Amino acid sequence: MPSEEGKQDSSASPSATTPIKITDQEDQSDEPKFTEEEIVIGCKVYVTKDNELRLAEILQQHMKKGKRVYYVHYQEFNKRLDEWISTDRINYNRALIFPEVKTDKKDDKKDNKSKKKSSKQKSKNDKSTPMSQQKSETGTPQPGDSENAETPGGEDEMDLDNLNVQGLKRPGEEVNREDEIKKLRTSGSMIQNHSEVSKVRNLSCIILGEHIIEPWYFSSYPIELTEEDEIYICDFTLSYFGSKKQFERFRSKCSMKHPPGNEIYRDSKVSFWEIDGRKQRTWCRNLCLLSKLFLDHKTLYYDVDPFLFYVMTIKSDQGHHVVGYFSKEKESGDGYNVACILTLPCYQKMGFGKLLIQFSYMLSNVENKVGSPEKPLSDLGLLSYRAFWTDTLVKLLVERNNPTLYRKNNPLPDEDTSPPPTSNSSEITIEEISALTCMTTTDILHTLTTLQILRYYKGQHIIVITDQIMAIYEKLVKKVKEKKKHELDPRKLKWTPPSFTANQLRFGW
Amino acid sequence: MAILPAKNSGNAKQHASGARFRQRKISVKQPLSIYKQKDIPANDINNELEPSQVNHLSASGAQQQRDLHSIETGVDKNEEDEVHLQQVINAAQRALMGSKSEENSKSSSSNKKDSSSTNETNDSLPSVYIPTPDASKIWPEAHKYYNDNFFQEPESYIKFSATVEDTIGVEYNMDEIDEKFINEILDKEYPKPPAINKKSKNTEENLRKCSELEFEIICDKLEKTIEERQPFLSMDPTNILSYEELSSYIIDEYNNSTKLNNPYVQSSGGNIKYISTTVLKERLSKELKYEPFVTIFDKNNGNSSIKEPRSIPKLFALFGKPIYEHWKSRKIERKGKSINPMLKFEDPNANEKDNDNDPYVCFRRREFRQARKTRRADTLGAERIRLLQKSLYKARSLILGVAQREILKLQNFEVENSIFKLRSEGKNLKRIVGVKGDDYLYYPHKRKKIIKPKEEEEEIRENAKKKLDNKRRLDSRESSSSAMPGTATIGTNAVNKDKNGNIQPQASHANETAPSSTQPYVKLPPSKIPDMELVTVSLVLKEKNETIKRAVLDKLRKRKEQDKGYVNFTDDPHEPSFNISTNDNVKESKHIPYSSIAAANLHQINTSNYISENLKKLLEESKKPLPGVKTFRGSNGELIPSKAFPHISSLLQDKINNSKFNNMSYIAQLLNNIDSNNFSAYNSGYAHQFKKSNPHEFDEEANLSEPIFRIRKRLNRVGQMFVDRRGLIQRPDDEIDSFLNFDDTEDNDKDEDKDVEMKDSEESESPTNSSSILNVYDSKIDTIKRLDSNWKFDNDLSEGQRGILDPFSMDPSKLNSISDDTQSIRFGSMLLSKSYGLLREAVQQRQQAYIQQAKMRALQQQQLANRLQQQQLQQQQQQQQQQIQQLQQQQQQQSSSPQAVSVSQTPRSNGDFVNSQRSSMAGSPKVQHKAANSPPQKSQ
Repeated sequence: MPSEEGKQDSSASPSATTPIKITDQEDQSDEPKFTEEEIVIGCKVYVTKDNELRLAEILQQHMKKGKRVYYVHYQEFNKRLDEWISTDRINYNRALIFPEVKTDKKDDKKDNKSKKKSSKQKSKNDKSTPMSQQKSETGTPQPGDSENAETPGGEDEMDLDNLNVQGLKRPGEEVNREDEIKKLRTSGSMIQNHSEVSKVRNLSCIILGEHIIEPWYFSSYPIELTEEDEIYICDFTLSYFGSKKQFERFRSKCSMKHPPGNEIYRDSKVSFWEIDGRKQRTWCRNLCLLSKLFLDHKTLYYDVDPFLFYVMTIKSDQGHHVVGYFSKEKESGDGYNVACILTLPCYQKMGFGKLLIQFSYMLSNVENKVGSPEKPLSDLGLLSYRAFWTDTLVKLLVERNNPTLYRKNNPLPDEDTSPPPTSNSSEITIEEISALTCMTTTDILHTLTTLQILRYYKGQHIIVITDQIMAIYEKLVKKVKEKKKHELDPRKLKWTPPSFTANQLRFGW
Repeated sequence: MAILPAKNSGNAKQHASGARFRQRKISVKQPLSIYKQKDIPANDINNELEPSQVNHLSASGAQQQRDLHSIETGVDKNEEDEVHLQQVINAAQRALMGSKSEENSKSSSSNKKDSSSTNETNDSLPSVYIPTPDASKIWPEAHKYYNDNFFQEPESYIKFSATVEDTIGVEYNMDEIDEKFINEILDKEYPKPPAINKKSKNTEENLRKCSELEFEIICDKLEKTIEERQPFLSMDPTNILSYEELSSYIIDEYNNSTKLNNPYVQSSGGNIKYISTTVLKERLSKELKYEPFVTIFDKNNGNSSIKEPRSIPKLFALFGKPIYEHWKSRKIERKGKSINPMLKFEDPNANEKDNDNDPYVCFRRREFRQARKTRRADTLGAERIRLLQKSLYKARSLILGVAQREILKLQNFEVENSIFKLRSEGKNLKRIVGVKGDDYLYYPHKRKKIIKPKEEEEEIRENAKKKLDNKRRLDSRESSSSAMPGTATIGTNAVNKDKNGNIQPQASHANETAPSSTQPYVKLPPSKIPDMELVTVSLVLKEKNETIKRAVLDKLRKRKEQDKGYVNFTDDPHEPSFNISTNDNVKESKHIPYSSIAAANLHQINTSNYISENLKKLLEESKKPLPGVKTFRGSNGELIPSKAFPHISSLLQDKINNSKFNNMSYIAQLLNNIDSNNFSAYNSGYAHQFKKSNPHEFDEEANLSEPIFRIRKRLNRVGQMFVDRRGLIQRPDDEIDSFLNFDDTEDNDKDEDKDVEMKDSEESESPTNSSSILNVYDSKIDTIKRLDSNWKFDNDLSEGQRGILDPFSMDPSKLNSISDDTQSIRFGSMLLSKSYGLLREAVQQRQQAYIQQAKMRALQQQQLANRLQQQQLQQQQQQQQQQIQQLQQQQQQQSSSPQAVSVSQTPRSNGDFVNSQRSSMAGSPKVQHKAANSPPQKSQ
């Protein structure tokens, strides 16, 4: 079981338990254990975060307004919370942990490619040289409002050399990478922790439509744009501009009002659009670049041709604004019905994610297939999916167990997302659930066990509708009744699954 | 299900890992009972009921680590441990576990590793969430850039296939540097004043400053051209093409684009180049010769003050040089790369590792193995592509045609608009000046469409068809009349008869076409028709006409449908009609051949299968018996005496009244006759009766003809009268005298004038009136009489004319439009041939009968003869036998009495004779044999 092994690995590596041990060992003393000069990229220090001390890994540093700033990744925090900190947040009273020779996968090798040639990481943050040299550029004062200061060209070249050396030094990892790229040919997302992926967020702010959004992760926007304070992204074409003037000129000429595809669903709140990556290469690339800002595991390694993009929009006087989307392979070997799925951060926590998920299952229903999202899920993705799965299963099982509730809460008799009340109400197989919900049996079992309603009783498995489940169900019904929860109507979906010839699926150039 | 086994094994492992639990595998096909919690004893819930799989928040902390990972979340392993995710998951679990988990957590709180965080989440369940960077801020300036609030959704779902490039116009977007350049250099120094030597006209065109859009157009051109001409400029940016080369190339391309065979395909080195929408627009605009060329993808700024960008050659002439210099410096600064930042794609020159390792390189092409193609597949594909191209070309030319038509329409509208404006000005002027007249010049003259008389023709054709029989009759009459002036001879009649068949179609055809040329309503010249929505008489009439037409057509159509499949094979068919008229041309009806037939026919009016609507109604309405119909009472078979026919009388009233002989018309008399059961007319003709009843009228109306002979008389001095008889045919004196003395009808004779003129005295000559019956064949008088009365049957009018004058002829022969003479001859010959035929038949029959008889006789004789012969033979034999018998008898008699033998033989021989008589007809040999027995009996 890979999970077990992974578990052991992580327990061996400096995991969440490690800092606790350290704190146990070391009393909090007032005397500084290290100086600023000792901090190298790759080492870990304690940083005050939200009134809490957190172990943080130094990923990058540079000078801002004459002061040193560090880019840190907090241990056990998602990368999206990585940030630039000033030195005063570093707790010098606790020990500095240098990178181990055998690091875990979070090792940062060339993450620092970041801004153009500006990589200040002259450091060989290699495990072979744990105590790397001090930043040579400490002495070079950086002018600047821009946080990414230019560094001398000489440094740049060195850096590149380092990267290559590092890459070569790890034969094992290289194989991994090749495997991964091979995998990419059939799927859309990439495990994040290979050496290539930059760990440092390269944009500081984007302006999408009227929303100002802080990016979460690195994205491959043109390297020139990383110098800009804010990136302007057209709400309709998703084109990106570092220059306000350019953006203004562009907006004065652009006539696009909605995603450039066919609308396949429309209700009072949202519309869905189907867009072929092959036909709308520019738009889909723009979408991918944008979504990469918020999806750690998304890869932009290959082009968008093999994917269909289902884009959810809300309407305003100006047109249809993208709220979220999911991409889907034209032909999925693994039975995935979603490759990448994202609700734009400005629309998160508003229930759109569940709509996207529901829609993906609606499509699977039309296709007569079961489907599951491509793994790995992000944390937010997992929670969204779990919530959706829970809602779906709770509704299904409770109503199966009690058909009167089904009739009461489903005013539309022809709605076939719920079980027909005629069937035997006291029993159900996993397969049946799968057929009704288009969820894979794995996902169903996963959810059932998570809900703890699959029990072993008197020698056989049963499903128990606990009081908590009933509470969830009643909450769900109440939400729908009070219109707090928007539900998609499968009858408004006008879609036939697109079919592609072998030639069209060859995606070469 | 492919994933099923894997799943099961996975589950099994998971279960095994939780050693505490003894769950077996779970099958996806196994029905799972659903219970409610309350259905299960509370004890079981806590004790026996075990979760099938462990959960994150299981009771013991030691278990937690393992259990945590025993459920695959699908999240990356490195991220699964993240604090916020775990907090949320645990919170959810806690909610699910309800009180139980709380108890557990209390009891095992000491085991918790991170009690603080657990407590925190316990206290505020809903506040647990995964923190994300801020995205809640709103950009206050957004409305400046998204200011067109015109989006309107169609009712149906949107279908859209245009790409981003299609909708963004000119692709180059100027930035702040360009803006600075425009403001500080270009606008100040350019355009150069045209005063140098250029034409002073078109100054506005030449003096207008360079707009931002125009700047972008130029830059866009430069960028695209340099990319095409120097794709590897980044190797040595300083080696950039000079302005002269670049601009001449651009302008050449612009000018030549429409001259190319296919201006929409650009190829460089065999590869088809993408043509940007702006270029496409430019070319289309040139091809259609229409500017400004606006597409639906062009943003409608609603701002007409923005001038359309000038053409590219003009722009280059005005601003090309400075912009080029500016652009060139930027280009070099960018090391030859495009001025707008571009995504980094694979660099074919760099090694693979570099490409792979650069995180900014994205959207790589996938290598794929070329599918093996057969030549067949190639040609098939090529053929298909050719077909597709063909149809696309067709579609394109169609669309261009439509576009050109619309442009023409637009021009037309514009011209009309200007005309209207001029007119209204002129009208105003006219009012001011006070000129009158020529008003029609100030209204638009609508061109009236000429209505094609198609419908009318159709209608006429239909009518012609419907009245075909009518027409045929008419035609035949006409043709016969034209071919038969005056008295028709038998010969010509026959010829006409033949001709009729041929002439008819032509004549009817002529009839068809003739009326179509006549338009019933005269149209006013269009200029005279006021341009108002007036309902004119002609319009109303036309409408009326059309409704009628439509109704008629409709009926005809229905009729046609009914008559479908009906073919009229009858030649010159008899159409029964109810023609009733007085026959005033023929005064002496007894001369009408077969006048009795005429009478009989008239009696058949009620049997006719055509009855006019009026008549039908009349007949239907009353139960009165019809003329000529004898009615018998159903009960006892008594004859009900027929009465006069008031219906017919009333029906005929019109005709009778209009007739000159209104009180005693032919019909009236006829009816009278029937009424009074006076059938004398059948014998003597109606005229006789008529004359008898109306002597005076006939006298008045007496026709005069040329005298057959003239006798000059003169009075001598003594008053003696001499009659000059010279030149007269020799008549018996008595006849002349009888003529001369025929005073009962000749009122003229009562004159003193001795000139004798033969009068119209036909009535008097009816044979019934003559006191003595003459031997016609011997009497010379009769010959003379006949000669003399010849004229009476000549008519100045031809048959056809007569028919026209009096279409309602009573003459039954008219029914078929055959002249009397023809009819008589025809009928006579028919009778003749009939009688001849009958005679022949009779003769033949008789002959055959005779022959048969003769044959029979001969046969019988032969049989008789045969029989006689046989009899003789038999007699001889019998005689011999008899002789023998006699001899024997004599011998026997000698021995016994001969009497007994003869008595016993007698009855048998009698029966045999009857038999032989009966079967002699069949002539069987048996008979002969039996007959052979009879002679002895006979002889006996």
